[in-house]
Amino acid sequence: MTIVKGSLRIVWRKKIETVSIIFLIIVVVVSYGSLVVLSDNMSEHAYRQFRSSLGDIALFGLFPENISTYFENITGVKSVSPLYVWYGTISLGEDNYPVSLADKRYVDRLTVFQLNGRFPLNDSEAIFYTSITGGPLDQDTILDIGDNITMVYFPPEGRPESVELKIVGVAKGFAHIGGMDYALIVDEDLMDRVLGDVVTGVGILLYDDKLEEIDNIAERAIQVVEDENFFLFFKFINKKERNPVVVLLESASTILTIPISVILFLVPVLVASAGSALVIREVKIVATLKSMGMGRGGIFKYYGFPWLVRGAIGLAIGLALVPRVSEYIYREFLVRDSEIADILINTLGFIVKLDTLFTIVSYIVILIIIGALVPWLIATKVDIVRAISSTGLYSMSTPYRGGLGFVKIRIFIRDVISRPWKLVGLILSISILWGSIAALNMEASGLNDVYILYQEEMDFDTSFTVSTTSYILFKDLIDISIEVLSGREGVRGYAIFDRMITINLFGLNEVGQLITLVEGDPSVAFPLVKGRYPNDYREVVISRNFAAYKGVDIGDYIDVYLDEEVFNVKVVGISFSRLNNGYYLFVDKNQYSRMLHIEVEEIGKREQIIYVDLEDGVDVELFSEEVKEAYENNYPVSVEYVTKEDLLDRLRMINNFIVGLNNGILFAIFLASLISLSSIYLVDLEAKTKELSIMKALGFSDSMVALGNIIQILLMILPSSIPSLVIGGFLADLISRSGAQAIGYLEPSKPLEALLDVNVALIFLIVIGVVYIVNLLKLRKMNVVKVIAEI
Amino acid sequence: MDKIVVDKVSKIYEIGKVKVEALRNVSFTIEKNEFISLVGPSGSGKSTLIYLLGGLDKPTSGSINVFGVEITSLNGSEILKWRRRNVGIVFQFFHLIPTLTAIENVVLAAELAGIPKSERIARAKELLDFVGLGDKLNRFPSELSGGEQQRVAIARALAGEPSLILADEPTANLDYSNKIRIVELLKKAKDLGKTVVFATHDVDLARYSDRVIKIRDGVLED
Repeated sequence: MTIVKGSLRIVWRKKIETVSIIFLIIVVVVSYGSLVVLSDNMSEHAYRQFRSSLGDIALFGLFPENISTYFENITGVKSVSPLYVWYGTISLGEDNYPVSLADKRYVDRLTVFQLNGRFPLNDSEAIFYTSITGGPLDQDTILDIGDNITMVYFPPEGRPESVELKIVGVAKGFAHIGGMDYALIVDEDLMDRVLGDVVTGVGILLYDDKLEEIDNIAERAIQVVEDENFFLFFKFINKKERNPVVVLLESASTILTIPISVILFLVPVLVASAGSALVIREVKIVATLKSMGMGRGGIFKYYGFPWLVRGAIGLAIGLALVPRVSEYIYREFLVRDSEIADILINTLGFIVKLDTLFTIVSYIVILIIIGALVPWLIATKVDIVRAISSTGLYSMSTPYRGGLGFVKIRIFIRDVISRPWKLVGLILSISILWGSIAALNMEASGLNDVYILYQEEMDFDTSFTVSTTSYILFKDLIDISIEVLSGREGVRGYAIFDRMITINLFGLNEVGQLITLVEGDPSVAFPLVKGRYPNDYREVVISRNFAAYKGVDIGDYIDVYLDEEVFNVKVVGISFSRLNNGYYLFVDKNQYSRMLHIEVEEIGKREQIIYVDLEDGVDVELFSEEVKEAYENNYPVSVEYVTKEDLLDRLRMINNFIVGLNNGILFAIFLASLISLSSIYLVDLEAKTKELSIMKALGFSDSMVALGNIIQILLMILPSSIPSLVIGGFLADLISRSGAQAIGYLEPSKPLEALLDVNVALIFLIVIGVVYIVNLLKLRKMNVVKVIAEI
Repeated sequence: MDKIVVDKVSKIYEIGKVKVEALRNVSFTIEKNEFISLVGPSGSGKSTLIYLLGGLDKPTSGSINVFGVEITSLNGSEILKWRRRNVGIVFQFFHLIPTLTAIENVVLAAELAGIPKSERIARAKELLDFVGLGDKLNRFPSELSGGEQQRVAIARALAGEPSLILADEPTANLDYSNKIRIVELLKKAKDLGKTVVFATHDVDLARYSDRVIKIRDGVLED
């Protein structure tokens, strides 16, 4: 106990070490912990919102109104709710905007529904709802209470109808009702009129203790639907670990948590470096303790325990700050709408999981112990006789003999070369900072490459999603599209595709697309890097980044999954396109029909994605608008268009968002590295008080000593470049792989350029400046006479 | 065996490529409860002999038997256990643990020697009283003078109830009155039944001991 008491006093007496490590741990815990807690809450909130609105198993199709009764006998089912949601378009002046339609029965299931106004009281009133990602309808159109609109809907069975509606409420929320950014919440009578005697979906909620059996229960529910011959076009099993939105959010959060996690390693570096400096300073005390018969355990208690106590203080402060900081980042940088954030957090809470806290605590404790093992190891190796009989001021071992230049510079060079743990501490601190910057630079460069790729390699200028909005087709949709596009002025080339949005096609719980060519030149949308386009069963084209992610090349076979079926297909082509972050499979029509169990003749008849390459000088926006009108004014179809410029704008926005987040992460890494480097020198100066006092007595000025220490850092930059490159490359690869689902796989590239970026030079300049000032301040406080008198 | 037998002990230190012969074929015997002064100039081998007697180091050749224990044949952990229970060492530069108070420095040594918990504090107080510091129990080393620190070091050396006290130049850094006080304390330790080996270069102080062993250049003088 006595030795523990003594070691506890070290915490108080060695203030520099204590403040440094506590401060570092606070920065590490707050930066890393906040992002981990943020990630936990993002996925938990997403999952619970899904569960609240769609249940655990959601089936979409056309079902009778009494659909709930069909699932009552399935064990594990807690409740079944019909889903009333459909689609329409609203006309404002000359413009049409696609919206989903729902009523209060659907809205009541939403976690976040912030309403300004009231619910509709009759079938001529509606609420205009905007999801979290939807802004104004367009730059000039903001729907408000009192506005009148025309809504056109195409009932599941029947002819299109239009209704005049008055906006009586404006609402916003998190959810994308029916997968759309905008929705009209109408009166229940109107909704029933739109849908007729059918419902378009059913949400099945299970008892919590039956969630493990979700797959079996889903299978039985689907069987019921199939046995009854109901039309089922989409099923969604809401398992948290397979929920594509949850997976996407978790993947996105790794882009933040992976680079920030690197600063965890500064903890053992600082403990090892500062701890070993202390042991070397107190070598005679170590020898005395050993001479009194103290064993390895006692030595660890004396020199290791203080670090654990400091760690515990840092952890306690850091963990206390984590929920607040995390919630702040969540509100201000992710939800970015204080009203929605309030409702979301008040309803679902902002949780800090015990196992997350436990993981953070375990990491820090393990890293401190690893760091503390170094001074302990040095202490156990202390030769009692040599230490006690030594009359030297400081050094334990014979310094390195070589060295160039002036003797006064040689002192500092020998000092750093002769002390392995200071050397390792400096190199690792520099490498972690440098490597992290390089990794983030590589990521930014990868994002920029995507942008350039779209700008330069993709031929198309605009793309259209054309969907039939009625079950009654008056004319073949393929013929309609050929009629609209063929011979239209300004068209250089086009390609019409059919596609199916998929979940888990590549077994990664990703949202992807299965695509096949219906008509035209596929290179407009899918230019090949190598290989050819598929022309037979089992032949596919995949994206360049998915190929790089999986290490797949032409001629290789891959497994793809659709529902419960597995297809082994051969890669015959690799394309530049990054559609759906690269998670697409471009297949031959026969393969498409086989995978989706539809007739080849059905392909392209209900929905098409059309990419158009325009002649130079054509006004893309005007052309797109004309094409949209050509469709919508003549046929029961809904058309949305996205120009290449829109896509580039979105890419630019995502890139800027990620680069902005990276800058925040970089600041935390910079701060932690700065604390680490400054602390190494402060502890070092403290350890060498006697030596430095003699040097000052001999005529060394404070600035000479501070400059000598800066020379040490500068000398360490060159040997740090190799570990920096390794750390940077490793981190960049890890970020690319973990973030692949969120932003697509970005192959790490240009590592040397990333390492020698101008920002690197700037950051190092700041670090060096701060370390110099810290050194100078510490040296100025040194009382030479007092120290020499005590020698 | 109730004596210490040093038999043909030599010690060579290798500092880099240089070999320094600190002790050359040294043999002598110390009876139990004897107060021996080991006298010699700086670099004569006194400290080396103290380290070897305390098991802090091993001779290059020869053997040392301390009250029946052949310490030169003990391994690392055995020598650690033996030293905890049988040896108290006083150093020239005191080497008190700076983060422990005077009484805690003494208690720590008692703890390491395996003195029962209930007895440690009483014993530490008794020993600090014995060295004249009963009123400074809770002072930190930095709050004590050099002479006081060395007295705490003596109390610490006695805390584990060792049979052998080794003092390596304990008076070298002290003024005359403190020197006398320390040597008198060592003599009082002998009166408590301890065997005391006192290394010093000061011949005057050696007169307090029962017997003087002179050493020069690693060889015993007649």
